Amino acid sequence: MNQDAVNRMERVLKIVNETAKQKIIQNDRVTDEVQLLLLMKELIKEQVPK
Amino acid sequence: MKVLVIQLARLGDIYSMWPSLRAFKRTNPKAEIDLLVRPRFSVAAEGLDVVNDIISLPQTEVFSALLNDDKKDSDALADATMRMADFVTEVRSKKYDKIINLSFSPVSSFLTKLVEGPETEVVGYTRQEDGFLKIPDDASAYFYAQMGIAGSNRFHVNDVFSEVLGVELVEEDYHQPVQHELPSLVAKLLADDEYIVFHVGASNPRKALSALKASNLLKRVVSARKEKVVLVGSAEEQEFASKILESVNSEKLVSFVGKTKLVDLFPLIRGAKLLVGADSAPIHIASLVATPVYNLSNRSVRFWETGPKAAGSRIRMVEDFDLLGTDMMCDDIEAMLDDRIAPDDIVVVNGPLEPYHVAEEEKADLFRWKLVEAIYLGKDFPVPNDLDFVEGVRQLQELNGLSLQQFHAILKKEDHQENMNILGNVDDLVEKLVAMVPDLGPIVKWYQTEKLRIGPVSKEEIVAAYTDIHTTLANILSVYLGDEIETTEGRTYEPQRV
Repeated sequence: MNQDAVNRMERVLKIVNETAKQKIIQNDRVTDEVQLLLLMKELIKEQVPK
Repeated sequence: MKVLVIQLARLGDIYSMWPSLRAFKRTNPKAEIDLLVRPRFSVAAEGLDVVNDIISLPQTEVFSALLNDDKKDSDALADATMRMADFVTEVRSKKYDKIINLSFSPVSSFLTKLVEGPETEVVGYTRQEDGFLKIPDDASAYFYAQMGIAGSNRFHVNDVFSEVLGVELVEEDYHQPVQHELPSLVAKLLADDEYIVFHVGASNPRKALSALKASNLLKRVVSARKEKVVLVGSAEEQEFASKILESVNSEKLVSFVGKTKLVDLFPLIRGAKLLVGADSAPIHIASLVATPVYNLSNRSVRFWETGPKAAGSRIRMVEDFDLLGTDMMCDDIEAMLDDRIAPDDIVVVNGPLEPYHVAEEEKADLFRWKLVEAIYLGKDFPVPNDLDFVEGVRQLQELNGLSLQQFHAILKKEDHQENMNILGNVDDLVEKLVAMVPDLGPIVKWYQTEKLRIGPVSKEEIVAAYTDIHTTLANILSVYLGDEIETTEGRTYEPQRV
């Protein structure tokens, strides 16, 4: 994976985290939509070099 | 019964679950089993005829949407998420009666949560309503607590899979025939010759022999033996294989590296007298076709969990492959081919349902394993190797007592922030303690995992569940808290009172 792709995934991870946080606050619970975002987060994390 | 098995790990893990899936089908003949895997590894399900449908995680589609340069980050994420949502909806619409997640990973746990319905029975990792990890079954909790390279587990992953599925394995579950013929080119080259298969790579380069070591070994083997040696491996390993071919320079050495599909390895390995290799998919294929393996293992692999299962296999375990001499490896191979008794420093495999036989044991590893057996199987607690462990137990018991005090206090008052802070500090101290006294690892991992398994319930229920776990911990620790505790060195411990 090239550096541009890694950079995008790192940026997207930040968006996922922020969005999930906002949705939890909005709904006062972890909805399926948030569980889906958390799935995306974990899937992306697997691809980003540690 | 409609069953979804989720296996998002790699090739070796997919082959490792074959016996358990066959056993599940044997005991549930009417079950319709679908298998969800990553697209790259779905080839490892070819030949597993108990599976109705193979479903691939849409990783390629999700990541091509995510990395679409024509879209800005947030839009690309929205597209990728929608593709995953469509996939989840499609899988969920199949209304599985049972989902068995054999992957033990964060991704698989969220996926399981999203595709399970209100009536679905779930085993393996999933997620609580609040998003925290949920481990509903004891076998998966055992995996979480004790398995992996840093753990002390000695149960083979194949057997843990069978526990998660709730089945008892029989030899037939390993050795059901896979109907696949050798490619004609391969069959022609081998004719009626006797041969050994040598896998040049491994699931990770740290687990494989260097090209130089492999070449030196194979030079010796082809000059000492009448058998041909057949190299196998993936297309990425062709350069590695070329180096070996060039260096060995013998007509008895044949390479099929990059020229076979994984399923071709079934007839190829079945026809071999022996497979030589490190931790990799071919080892697991050998277990399924009952071909003995000479398995090379080092510290980056826990052979207890992923080693060969075929009767007659032997595992040469060294700290580092730099310590492996050509003479030693060649002698080991010749001893296996000539059916000579194994030396004491090699692990012997007596069959797929038998535990490994180890003549020479490392004291610390054996103690921790016996501790695991005592906690999970109710066996006798082992005699500690040294006084550090006994002192560690005493300190852990003090911390445990402090935790129990906090639980009692929390129940009595509304504002319990201070108690929660103390509990947090205790958790940190326990981590530090186990880093100093690694022999405490199995106990600490057990109790940490059991606490994690408590779901989002009322304060009273949480406190009651925590109190139960900490009380059980106190009982375990009390075994080592007499006035005088003997160690294997014959020394006794007298507790220091302050």
